[in-house]
Amino acid sequence: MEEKAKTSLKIENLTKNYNKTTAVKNLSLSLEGKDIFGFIGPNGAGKTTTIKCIAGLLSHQSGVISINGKDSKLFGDLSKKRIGYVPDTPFLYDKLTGREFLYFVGRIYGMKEADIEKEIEFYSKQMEFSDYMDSRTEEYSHGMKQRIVIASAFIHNPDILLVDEPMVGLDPKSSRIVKDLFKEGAKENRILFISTHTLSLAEELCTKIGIMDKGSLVYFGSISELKDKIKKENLEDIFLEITSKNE
Amino acid sequence: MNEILKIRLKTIARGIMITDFKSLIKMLSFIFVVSVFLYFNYFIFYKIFVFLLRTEEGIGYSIAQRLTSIMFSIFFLMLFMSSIITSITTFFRTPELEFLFTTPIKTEKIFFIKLLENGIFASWATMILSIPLMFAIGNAFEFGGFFIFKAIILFISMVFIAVSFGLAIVFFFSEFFRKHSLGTIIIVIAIALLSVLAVVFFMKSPDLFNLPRNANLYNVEKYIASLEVEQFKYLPSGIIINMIFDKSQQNSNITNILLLFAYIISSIFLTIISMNLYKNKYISYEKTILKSSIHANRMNYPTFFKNSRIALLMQKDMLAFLRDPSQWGQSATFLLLLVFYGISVVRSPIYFKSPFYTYILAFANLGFSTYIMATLSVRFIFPLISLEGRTFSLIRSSINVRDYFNAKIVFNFLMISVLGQVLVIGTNAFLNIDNVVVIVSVAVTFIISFGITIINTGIGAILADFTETNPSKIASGFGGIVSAITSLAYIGICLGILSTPTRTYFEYTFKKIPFNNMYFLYAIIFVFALTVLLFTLLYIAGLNSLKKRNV
Repeated sequence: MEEKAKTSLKIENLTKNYNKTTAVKNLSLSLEGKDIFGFIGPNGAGKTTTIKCIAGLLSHQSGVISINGKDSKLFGDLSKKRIGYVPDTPFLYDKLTGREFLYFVGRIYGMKEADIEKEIEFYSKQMEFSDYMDSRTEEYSHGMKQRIVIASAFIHNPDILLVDEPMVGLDPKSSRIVKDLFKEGAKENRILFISTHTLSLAEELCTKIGIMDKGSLVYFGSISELKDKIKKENLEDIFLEITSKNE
Repeated sequence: MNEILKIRLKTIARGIMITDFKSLIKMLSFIFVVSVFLYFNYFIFYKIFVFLLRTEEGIGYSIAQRLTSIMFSIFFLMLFMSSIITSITTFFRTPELEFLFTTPIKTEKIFFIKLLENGIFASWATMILSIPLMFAIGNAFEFGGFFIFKAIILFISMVFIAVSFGLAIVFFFSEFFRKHSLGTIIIVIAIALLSVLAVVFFMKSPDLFNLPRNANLYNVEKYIASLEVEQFKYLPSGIIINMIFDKSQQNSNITNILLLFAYIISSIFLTIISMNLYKNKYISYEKTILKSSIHANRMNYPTFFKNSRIALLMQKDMLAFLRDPSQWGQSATFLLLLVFYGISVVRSPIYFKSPFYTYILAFANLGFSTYIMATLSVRFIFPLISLEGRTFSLIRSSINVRDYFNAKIVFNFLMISVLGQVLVIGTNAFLNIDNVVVIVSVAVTFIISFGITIINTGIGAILADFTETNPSKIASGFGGIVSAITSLAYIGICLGILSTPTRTYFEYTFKKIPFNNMYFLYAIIFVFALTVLLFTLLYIAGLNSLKKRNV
């Protein structure tokens, strides 16, 4: 049986300017299937801009973003099936129920009804939202919305999942559920690209991390390599040391 | 496409779904208010047309046709302007777009849905006036049952043309000035449109009432014939009016059909170009370029206001407004159009300045000014509380809700009152109206400003939607429609109360029938009493609603 080619995400010299301000400067990195990548950095470092460029929500001035070897600029709308995106502020149609929203997303991605039902069943158990998924989303709390949005990003089985600040506003139980889902999700041939301020999340989950500061990627590699390099055990101390150098 | 359309329809259906007794009452009240408003409008238009058509000299038919033509021209310009205004938010700033653009839905489908939404946002205000107008035309002119169908099709064509041309202008300017901020683009669009309007305006002199008082029969006949020439006959509105009144001149009819067809084809062409530009425009639309380059703290205010929370809240509202280009851009465009209105009143022909017409104009000016105040309030004042969004919880936890509500009322009243007074006093001064009418106009505008403020602020509080960030969408939602209808009905009642002493005052001026200035005072007291009643009811209801709100 022919084995499916490994998923890859390659960014070369990505630069994004907003007028005279450079948000991302010559960013280069490379990831492949099963990688859980933690994208960390202070506020305004350029993390969300990078994620939006990969998701095709922002144009960039120079550089190439390749997904599975193909320049993302050449992607048509249908190629977006390979990507799942969880924004920092969850968007849901407030007059729909959680189930209806997931069903809607499944249909948009061209899934068969039976498959959608199966996936909804699976994620509702995995993420524990069965109790409320038949209520309108306007009644949900932030954490409830976030769980539905994360499930909607997984439902079509994307190769690359871009997640922007997944832990903001989640209670400990919801955080645990989301972390478990990410661990499970990366077992398949999938890249998880997670932007976060929660260093413990990066430490617990990520196989690789990237530290952004003032638009530049100041470190890219594994956490253990970084700890060896800086000679410190605590990721928080390392992070503060690296980012304070640029001040 | 089907999926997004289904979602839209489901959202609408659930928004109006009757789930309990409260929602039943809400729905019935809404249907009642809308029906009464539509019927009232129809009744007024119908009566005017029937009155004009009864005149034996034939001038009535021509004036009715001319009035309809002017109204349709105004509708078209309003649609065009509204489309420009709403498209910036609808096509670029809605949070839903970020979600849709990450899915495999084709850009063309997203564009189509947004075009449809933009058409609805831009046309609903015009629609609630034009539908009764079309029914009134059909019945008064006895055009038959098929007429309404034909008129609605033609009206939808006009909406489509206005919306696609408006959108094309936004896309064209943003393409041409792609390196500039949204604020600059809005200023450039406003200047370009005003320049075009200024050229048309100064080249074309108003002629509706351009008849000398000592005219002979030949002049009168020539004048009547001139009335049948439609205003802006090459605009879609003029073509549509020609087709509506269909004088069964074969050649003219074919010309009109061809012209309309040319407009529709051009609109489709412009829409296709816009659609192809859309994806790139969206991904290069940089929200962060809107960040303020001014780093100075603008929240510091004079020492004597230091302890006033109301002043602090007003300061915050003012800053938020001035730093949002879609808000100040839209209001600036409206205000500049009002300047043109003022100039056009001043430039009215010399014959028109006979005392009789001057008083009619002063009364019409009061009506128009208050109508403008009402429509601007629905667009800019009604959404203000909803636009607080989640920050309302901060306000509620840190400030007395009554202070907050009072600050909104004072701020909104100042805005709307200054606008109304400038319009009314400015135009009356140029018309050389006598002091009694000027004082009455100023007093009534002051009271009506208060009424309009409490209607839009009160209903804005009762029906606040803290989840919506698009002010145009808030204004065109359920609450906006209720607010618009209540404001217009209130103005109608106020003007109705004032019409009796005004008519008597005209008669006193011309026929020397005794008139007591107290008649005006009584009318003003009635208007004041109505406003106080409205203020009390809406203030209590609005405040209670805000106190109970959970965000």
